[in-house]
Amino acid sequence: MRINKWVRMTLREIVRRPDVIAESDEEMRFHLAMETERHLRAGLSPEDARREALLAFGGVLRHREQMRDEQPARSLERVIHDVRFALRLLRKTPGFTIAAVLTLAVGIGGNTAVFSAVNGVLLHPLPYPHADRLVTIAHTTRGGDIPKNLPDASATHVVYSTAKSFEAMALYQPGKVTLTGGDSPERVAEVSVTQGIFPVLGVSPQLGRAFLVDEYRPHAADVVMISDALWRRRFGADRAVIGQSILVDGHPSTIVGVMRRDTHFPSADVELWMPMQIDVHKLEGFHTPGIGLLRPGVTPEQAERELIALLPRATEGSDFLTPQLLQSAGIRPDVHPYADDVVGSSVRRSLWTLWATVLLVLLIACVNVASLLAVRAESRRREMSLRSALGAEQRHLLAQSIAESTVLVMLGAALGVALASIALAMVRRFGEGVLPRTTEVHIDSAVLLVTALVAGGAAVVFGIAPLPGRGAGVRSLFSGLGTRGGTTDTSSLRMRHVLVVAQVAMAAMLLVVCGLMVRTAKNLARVDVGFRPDSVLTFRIALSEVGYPKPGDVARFHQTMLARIRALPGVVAVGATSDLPLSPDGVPGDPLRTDRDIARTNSLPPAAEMRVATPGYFEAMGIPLRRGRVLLDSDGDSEHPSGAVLVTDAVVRAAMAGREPIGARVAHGLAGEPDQRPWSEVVGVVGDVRGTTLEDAPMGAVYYPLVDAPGVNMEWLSRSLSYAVRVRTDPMTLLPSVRSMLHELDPALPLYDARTLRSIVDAASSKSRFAMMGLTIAALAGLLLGSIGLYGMLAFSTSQRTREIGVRIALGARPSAMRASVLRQGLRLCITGLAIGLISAIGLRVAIRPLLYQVSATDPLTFLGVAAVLLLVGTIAAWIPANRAAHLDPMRALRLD
Amino acid sequence: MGESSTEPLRGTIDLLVLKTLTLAPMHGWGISQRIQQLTSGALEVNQGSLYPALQRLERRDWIDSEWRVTESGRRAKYYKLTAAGQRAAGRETASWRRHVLAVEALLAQT
Repeated sequence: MRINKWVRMTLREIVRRPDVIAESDEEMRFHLAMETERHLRAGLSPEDARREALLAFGGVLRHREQMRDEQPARSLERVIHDVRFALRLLRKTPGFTIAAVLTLAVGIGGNTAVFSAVNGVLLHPLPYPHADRLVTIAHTTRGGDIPKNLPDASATHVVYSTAKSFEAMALYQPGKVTLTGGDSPERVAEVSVTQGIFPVLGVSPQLGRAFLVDEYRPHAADVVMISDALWRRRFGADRAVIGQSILVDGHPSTIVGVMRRDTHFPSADVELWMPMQIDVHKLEGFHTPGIGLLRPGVTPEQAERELIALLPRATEGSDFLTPQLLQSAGIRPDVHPYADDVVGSSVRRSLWTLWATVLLVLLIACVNVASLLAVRAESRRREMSLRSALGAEQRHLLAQSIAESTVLVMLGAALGVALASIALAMVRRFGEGVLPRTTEVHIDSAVLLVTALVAGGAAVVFGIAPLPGRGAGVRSLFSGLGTRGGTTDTSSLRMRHVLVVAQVAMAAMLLVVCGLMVRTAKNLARVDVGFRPDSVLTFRIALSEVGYPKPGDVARFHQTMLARIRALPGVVAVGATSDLPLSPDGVPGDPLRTDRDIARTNSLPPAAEMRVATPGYFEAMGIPLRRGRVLLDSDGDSEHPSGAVLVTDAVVRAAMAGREPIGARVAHGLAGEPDQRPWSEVVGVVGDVRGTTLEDAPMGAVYYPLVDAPGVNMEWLSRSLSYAVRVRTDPMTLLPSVRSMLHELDPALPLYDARTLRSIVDAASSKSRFAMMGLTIAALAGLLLGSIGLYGMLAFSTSQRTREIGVRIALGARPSAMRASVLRQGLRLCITGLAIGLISAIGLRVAIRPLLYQVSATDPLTFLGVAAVLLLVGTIAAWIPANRAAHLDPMRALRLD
Repeated sequence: MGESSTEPLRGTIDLLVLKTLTLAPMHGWGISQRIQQLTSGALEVNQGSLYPALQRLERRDWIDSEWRVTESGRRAKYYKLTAAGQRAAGRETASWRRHVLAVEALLAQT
């Protein structure tokens, strides 16, 4: 009821303002009339009576004012007035306004853009109902990653299925298959899953059904579920697709379900889900990623402890996997949040680092605007003091000051959000493949809220900071009135010095991080990838088991294709391999035993990659032959395979301890494991290539010929080969003739992943380039803003000292001494900030180190460079006002005010 | 601000107005006159504080207002206590008495 009345009156005061005023005036007139009458009765003349009444009343306007002060609507009116006043002031000083708004826009915009990325990529939950409880179940060995083909890795998952920490658990194996039967063959990503995947992810098909229990049994009929994208692309979103057949690697498979559009497991490009048909009684040696759904309240650490306790049971009934082997190899389960795998640790680290740097830029920007406002406040000090002496209440001055800063900050924030959305559009367009989950990156309510909080906080701080006489009261009021342009009180001067030092320090930190990233990018660009990337066309061809049932058919196809390409004009060399260098998805590898090995007691032998290569591959790629010979066509003869292989430098170093490699015998896999591979003979040594990333040193590889040697099954590697064609001209111009050649040979085969070798190398360095570019932009913005801050502060304090300098010059001080004085002041601040910044940068080394490649986090060259740049910029920023001081005309200076 | 001795203490004006209105509904001028009479001229309520106070009290729904015609035939805004105002007047009176007693006790000590 009380509220009601309050609201009613307030509304009436806003909406029917004239009525309210008229009513109040009428009440006042009545009062005056009565008062006049009273005086008349007391015997005064009419004029005197009226004058007395008016005098007592104290003025009509004042009455109105007093009434209005009691009305809440009045404060709204005052806010509007303050904002108008602020806008007028800002328009009067366009230079200041533009500088402040742009500075804020850069700070807030950078922050908004990067926070959107952090929010979308790192903070947004994955699109599964229990995303926070999804964990990856993997294994590690003492040496890091588990060798890919360590036997019975999947057996452990059978053992793990009894674990109480999990609600459900599943294995999955991503791969690629060829779809035929349509207009053109197509190579798509697929994933084989075990039964648990649907309860784990909490997903169900939008159409049809999930797989039946029987369909996971070995030799069950082939069934698939297809993605929403494939359904629309290949079947025109026809609901009758269920039960239709689709050719997967040549096998007819029945479509039983269509997945939802937002199910992207394990990656966004997966188009087919298939049941993983495994025989739990005869588990083979494959390494399979696992994913589990934790019970509510169970942490990944608890789950991991339970699995560690269960693991020894996996050795029961296995001749090969013994408790001793588990012990000696240090094999242990590793359970961690699944979200960590979706966004790699390097991206995670880059994004957090980037955010930290843009926060620094924002801080610098805020300090800049704060000192700009302080400078302005200084020049309006007398006005403010005068106004408060004339009776303006402190809270009104404060409100006005806050209104002014709010208008500034809001303009800056609006421009900043606009800048951020442009930046994000560019990230979405060019960031694919560099940044995961780019589709999730946009400015949403959470981002705007953070921006609003930042901006609001800044507005209040800026509003309060420049007010005169905070807490000092009357003293500063009088000192404000008494000052002439010549003197400033020391506390505000010291405050500005602190601000400038802080800016220089933050700029120094940013520059150090940026410098280290530039050096990292340079080091990565100089990495010897182990091959010559220019003028090479690469593409991939995969053969199905239906069209090419025997290993000999596979070899024959590839050899024919290679021979025809070699005959094309402009081709220098051509070869094919199972995995090109710098394949981010990884290369199969396994522990390698040799007869040149040293005795190992407590660890697995070093792992080496398994690769297949045709004779021309090394010449086409420009991989150097170190010793012996390369593989010949005769080594790959399907009737009489020679069993010859090549190894790389790293294998000779790690597995053979540098002993004579030619004639040595090597085999992948551990001795005594089921299906143990026989020895192969090393006939040559070639250079190493970077297998997956630029940063990781090569692990070494064994190159097998295209076809199976007795007991060495290579078919799983050679069915799908990457071709490398070295040409004299632009590599991509060769592509059409290669395509038509393939079409002639087999129209059902897709040619995919066509690109130049150079672009593969570029893509490998794009992640660090992305981080470097982001950090460089942030650092340059920081440097620019910081130097503007230093310049602004010095220019202002010099102009404040105009009188003093004038007096000193008039008394005979040399202009050069004045210049030196200002320069000294500037450089002192600059050096102090620099020292603090560099020391802080040393403190950051733990956070930065993982982002760096072959450069120390305390790299002296970078630190020296940053010091030089900042001193140079600082000197320039100080020189301009210093020079102005030196050329000051004393007469003019003294006549000021 | 120059406070004269006849001006009521700050904060007591609400109480004075409420108390005056417990007798009968009254217009602003009448209220000021009555306060002066009842205190034998010891307190004079300044118009500058009376009318904002009336507005404030009405906003709190302690008093209500309506336009009426006086005996002399003029239109005037009459104020009267609401039920909440009655209760508030009692509360404020009690609280004022406690306050006065406390201050008296202190003054007697020193």
